[in-house]
Amino acid sequence: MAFFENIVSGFIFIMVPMRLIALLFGFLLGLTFGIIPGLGSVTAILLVLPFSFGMEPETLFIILSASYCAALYGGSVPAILFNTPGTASAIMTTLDGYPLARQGRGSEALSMSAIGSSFGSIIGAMCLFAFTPWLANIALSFGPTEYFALAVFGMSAVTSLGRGNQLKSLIAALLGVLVATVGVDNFQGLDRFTFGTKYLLSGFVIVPVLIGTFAVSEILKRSTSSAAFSQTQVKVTSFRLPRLGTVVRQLPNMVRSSLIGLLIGVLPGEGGAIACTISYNEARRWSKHGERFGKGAIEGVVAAETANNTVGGTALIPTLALGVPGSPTAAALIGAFLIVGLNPGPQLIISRPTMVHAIFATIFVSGILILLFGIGPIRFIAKIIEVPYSMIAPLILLFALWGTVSIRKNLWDAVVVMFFGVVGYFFRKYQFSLIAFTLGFILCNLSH
Amino acid sequence: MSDSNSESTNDIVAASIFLTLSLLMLWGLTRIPGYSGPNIRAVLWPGGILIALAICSIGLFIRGAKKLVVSRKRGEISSHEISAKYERVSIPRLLFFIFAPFIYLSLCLVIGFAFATPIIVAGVMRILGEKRIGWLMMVSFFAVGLFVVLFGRIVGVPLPRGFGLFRSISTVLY
Repeated sequence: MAFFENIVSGFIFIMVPMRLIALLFGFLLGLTFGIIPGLGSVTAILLVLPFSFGMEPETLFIILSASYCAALYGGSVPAILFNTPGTASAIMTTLDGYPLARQGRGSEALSMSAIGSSFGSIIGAMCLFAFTPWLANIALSFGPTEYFALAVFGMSAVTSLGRGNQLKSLIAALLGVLVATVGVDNFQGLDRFTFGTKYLLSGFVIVPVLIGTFAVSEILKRSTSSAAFSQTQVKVTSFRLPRLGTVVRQLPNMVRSSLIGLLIGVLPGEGGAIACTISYNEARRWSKHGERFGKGAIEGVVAAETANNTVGGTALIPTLALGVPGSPTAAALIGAFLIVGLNPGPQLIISRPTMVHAIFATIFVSGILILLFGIGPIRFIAKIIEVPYSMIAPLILLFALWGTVSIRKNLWDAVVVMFFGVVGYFFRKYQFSLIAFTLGFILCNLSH
Repeated sequence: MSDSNSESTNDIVAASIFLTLSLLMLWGLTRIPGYSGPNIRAVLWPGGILIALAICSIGLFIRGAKKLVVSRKRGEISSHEISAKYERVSIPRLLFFIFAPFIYLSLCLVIGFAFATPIIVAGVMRILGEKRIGWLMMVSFFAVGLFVVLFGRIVGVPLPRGFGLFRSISTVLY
């Protein structure tokens, strides 16, 4: 009964003209950031934050949640048309999406990607409605021991999932914890690693660290590569909706991929890419024509995108219920919560149930918007990829710097952004996990 | 250098840096005033993390060294092929992108946001391959206008104005 009440309250809350406009704005912003390779949902969320002052928190999180959801889908567009994933989790989509586009089936690939993403988002939203309050209720009885265990579990989960290199992921997590210890000790008031500076007395603030580690490091990585990006775009000249039979045949694939996304998404870590890989492999295993995978199998595209968007929703379950980020973007959302003075966790669901249900409802509605945009207008929106990166990069860099400064009106925050941008760049280059670093940073206070 | 060789070398370098960092910071912890006695808990937590980091760094160092020794024993041939084109790094660009933002922020304090920003925007665009002067100027001034409106007026960020004549001109703008 409470499940249906939560759904109704969430939808009623967002069905107000201003909030719907905010949702649409967030959706289009996220879609744009997802389509442009190298930007993604983390950058979209972090760059919206400076403009959040004066906005009611509920509206802010409607915008951020819609951006999040849209960016996850948006990454599939350049993956299909350019063979370049817009987001890390769209890598598997390139394997079959681009070959399909080259065979003249680009519109089919784009539409089925949208249908899979939409299905995944809606399932993710329903899981959020169902499991978040239940998990939060359990977390209410947590004491210090349980929170410490949770922090250790979060870090061990992300290190064990760290792309085949657990030792490096562990080192990254430890570095994140170390960075979080900078400042005045909460219990005894001693300065730790402040080097006598006033700025470091309060420690490193989460938003500059996240913006630098994710957004700026990605700009550095892309801008410093001397390789010419192969941007042979496949143009979609005509658009046809997929046949109903094609969609119905993909239903078992979508259900299976959603289940995989659900199971992976609730674990802290970079779940999107892992879930996509597993669901792609499972789709190939279950397919009657597994030999077509890699050469233009629509099941591959559907499996990857469904899992990707399901993870998007389910990664918010531990984020909202426990305060443990389920993905890098969820970590950015935690930063947003902290900026507006809220602590994600079980107390948030008790004190602000309407906001939490509005987030769930936003993800559901974003799933429907993905379907509406993806089966038609997306090929026009995709033209934004044609803007040269040389024009986008300086603007994003400036947004990162001055957006961070605007939060505390402190120029040193921009220096911190660049510092962590350089650190993040070297992490990427030497294959240390950024999400492990971020989790270590966020969970340090929990475990301390 | 072959891919596994370079990965091993990278691991060794990274491990050395992290080991040095952890040892230096452990030493720094002992220098915190009043760290011993009843206040030892303040350093226990970061101290434990640093010790764990040092141990992991040693592990990474040993692993990297083993891989390097094994691959050299196998006589792996150096390859001119890079495994992924994406991994080829332009050193001049890297140095530019690391240092330019810090120089830009310092310039902002001296000549103001409105004068420093076109320089960094044009510089970034130029180094990324944009050669058309028209586009360089247009995007630079668009960026200044956009940021003055967005951050200077809407969000209310006190954008730096610089000194002297630059300050006078900047005051007119924002």
